[in-house]
Amino acid sequence: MSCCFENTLHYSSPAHGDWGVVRIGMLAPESVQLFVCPFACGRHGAIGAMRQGFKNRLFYLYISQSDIISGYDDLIPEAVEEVFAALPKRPRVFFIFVSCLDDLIGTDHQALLEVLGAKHPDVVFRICHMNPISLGSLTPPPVSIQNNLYSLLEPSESHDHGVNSIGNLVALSPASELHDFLEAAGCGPLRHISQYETYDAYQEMAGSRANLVLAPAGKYAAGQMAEKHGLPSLFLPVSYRLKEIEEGYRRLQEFLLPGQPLTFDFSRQKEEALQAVERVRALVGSTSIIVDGSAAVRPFGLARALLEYGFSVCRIEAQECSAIDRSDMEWLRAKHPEIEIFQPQHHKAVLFQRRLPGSIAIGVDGAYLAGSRYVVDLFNDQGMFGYYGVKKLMELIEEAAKAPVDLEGLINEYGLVV
Amino acid sequence: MAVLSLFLPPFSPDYSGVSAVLFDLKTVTAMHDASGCTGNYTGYDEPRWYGSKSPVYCSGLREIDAVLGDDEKLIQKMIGAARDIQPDLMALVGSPVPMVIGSDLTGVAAELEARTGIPSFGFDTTGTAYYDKGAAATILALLERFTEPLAIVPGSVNILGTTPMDFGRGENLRDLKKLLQDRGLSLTACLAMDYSLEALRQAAAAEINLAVSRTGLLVAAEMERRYDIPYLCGLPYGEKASEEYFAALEEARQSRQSRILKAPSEDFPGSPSSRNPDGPAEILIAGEQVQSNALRLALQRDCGESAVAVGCLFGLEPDLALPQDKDLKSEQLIGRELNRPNYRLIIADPFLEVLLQNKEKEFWPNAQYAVSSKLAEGQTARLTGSFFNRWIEINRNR
Repeated sequence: MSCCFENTLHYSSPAHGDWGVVRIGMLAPESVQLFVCPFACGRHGAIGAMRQGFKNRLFYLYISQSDIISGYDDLIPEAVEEVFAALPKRPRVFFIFVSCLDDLIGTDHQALLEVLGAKHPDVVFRICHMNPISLGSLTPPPVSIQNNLYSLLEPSESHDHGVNSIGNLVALSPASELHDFLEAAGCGPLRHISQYETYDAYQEMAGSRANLVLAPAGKYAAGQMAEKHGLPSLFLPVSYRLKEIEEGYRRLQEFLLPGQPLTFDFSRQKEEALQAVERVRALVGSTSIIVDGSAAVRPFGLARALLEYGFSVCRIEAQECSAIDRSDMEWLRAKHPEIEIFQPQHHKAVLFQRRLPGSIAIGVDGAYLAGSRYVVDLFNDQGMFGYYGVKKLMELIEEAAKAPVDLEGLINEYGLVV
Repeated sequence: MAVLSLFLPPFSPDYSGVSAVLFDLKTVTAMHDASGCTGNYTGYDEPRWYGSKSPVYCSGLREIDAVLGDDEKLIQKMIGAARDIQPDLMALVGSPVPMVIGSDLTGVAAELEARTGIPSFGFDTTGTAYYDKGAAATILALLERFTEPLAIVPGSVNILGTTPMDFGRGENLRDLKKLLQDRGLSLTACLAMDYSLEALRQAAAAEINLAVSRTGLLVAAEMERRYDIPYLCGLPYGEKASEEYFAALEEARQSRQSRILKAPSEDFPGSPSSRNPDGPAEILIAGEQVQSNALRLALQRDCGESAVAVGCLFGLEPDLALPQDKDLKSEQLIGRELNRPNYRLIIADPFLEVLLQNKEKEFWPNAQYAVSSKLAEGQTARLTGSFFNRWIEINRNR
């Protein structure tokens, strides 16, 4: 396995991107968003919102060069009033987004929030950041927007047995055995922000007993919730390795019921996962597989799992290796030096020099760059967890192997935003 | 001055115009931004992006680079890319953050060129102007660098001002080229879609320039000054109006005088008007100014509709305008204009329909990539030559 990662000019393939802060912020029930930025900064978010069907909650205050020079703080309250006037129903949450340049000019956000809060005490205002210039810091946009979402929860006087799933943008599949495990442990339900339609109902998550952090972008928010609500959290990112899944459940048991041994019987779920692995491995044989970071938060971990199951992984596409994926990368480097690490944003990616049209790509970015005709429709581990996740992954690979896919159509369906 | 927008998406910005012009060339282009600006261009302003090998990149600007003004990091990334891509030229494209920190991208480009020997350009785009400004500045910079005065080749033309923001995937442009070919005219350079550096070098050999957008007009005016090439500004939409277009083209070739084709009523005193020739306009075309003018001319010549106003979404060029035309600088102004009772028909990008309060008013969609991007491509009207007349029939029979 060749390594390591270079900081080059970034190529942005048509399959590059994610939900973006607009779509993530829209998870907040009864919320609206006002972006305060040069008009250009809003184009991708607005078109993406039109595609997703929530442009009616997204508004813009375009600022000019002179506004930037003189400061635009005082323009925002009037714009907020105009947004209120245009809305058919009063929102409960008002997100004001600023863009990269705001990081450099020192807008007094706190003073602004005080003015708006005093005038509209029935609405919760938050300053949010669409500032990819902060990527690499502790609070890049995917992290800060999740913190904004969960900062809306007010401390609850009582706590039930519910457990919040934090960090994952899509609720876990109801088919995952995690739900059964929680129920058997006297915990649950497993809550997710997407299940709430009203701001008041959403407050239920403040009354949960713990946070289960399923994706790294939720860790910071969970830390803030620990301070504000006293909610303990466990970071348990999605894994496709049986050993790790088993260990994860052991940690979860200890986290929820300290000192009590793990008694839940996972044998059926484990067996189903293994059967799926056997079936799909037999189907796929030695077909080359590309594992792409757009599909899984831990592409090296996913590649390791597949190799351990006997699949033939030929390439891992990852722009960098996150801390939680490092040990798997080291394992792969030691055991499988033949596997290629491909940076999808490297300037050389545009040359399309190493095409693998017959491969199966797990993830659309990997498929686009390799020209794979067979594509596993998995994005960001969505809905996956535990033994169910392994079984579901196998089903997706099986489906992908059966017929070539319309990749451009699939990418368009994802509605990715850079 | 700050402007509120409640319903429409922001339109294509200047940096997308720059990048679109450079798309066809073997250029290492770096948009100097963190990621989102590049994402605007690659995701929503460039229909040719899928499947292309155009080396348009993001510089990956980070806060620390901005604070420290670390140009060297950018230069090293550009040099690294140049080593692998072997480009004919390089370009740095500005965005809001470089604007705020006062980056001198022209200076950085000069440094880059001094170190690599590769012609390099810096464009101080800001994300606060529309695509046409960026596109025009880029075409002009390329012409200045690569195009020397040449002997004129009779019967040759340049098409000026073609970008995906105005021409989408280029269906109307292909139709235009076919019409030119049918009339025995040869194409020297089509700036800036489907062209090469070699074609750009030959651009001064054209007998006449055809400005097909506001971008094109800005370029054509400068080329007239630099190379003494006259221009015709307009587009041949509609059977009858196309005849007039080609007559004007022939006249401009003979007289060496430039002409803007915009159908002022005084040019045509006997022109029939179906309803109200002297009163306020009954039809509003909202969009890019040159294309809208061409559509108006076709409506007048081929359909007898003379009471037509143009609403300019990206700025009003006085030389292109008639008295009834409007500079629709904001969503509020667009909405107000669309809802004026005198208009019985609106022709505009389908995204604008949301602003229409009276749903009884007739609305004919004509998608423009600079507005609705890939979301309404199927509603782009094919208007060149007789395709206009078919489009009219379809809309009348809806």
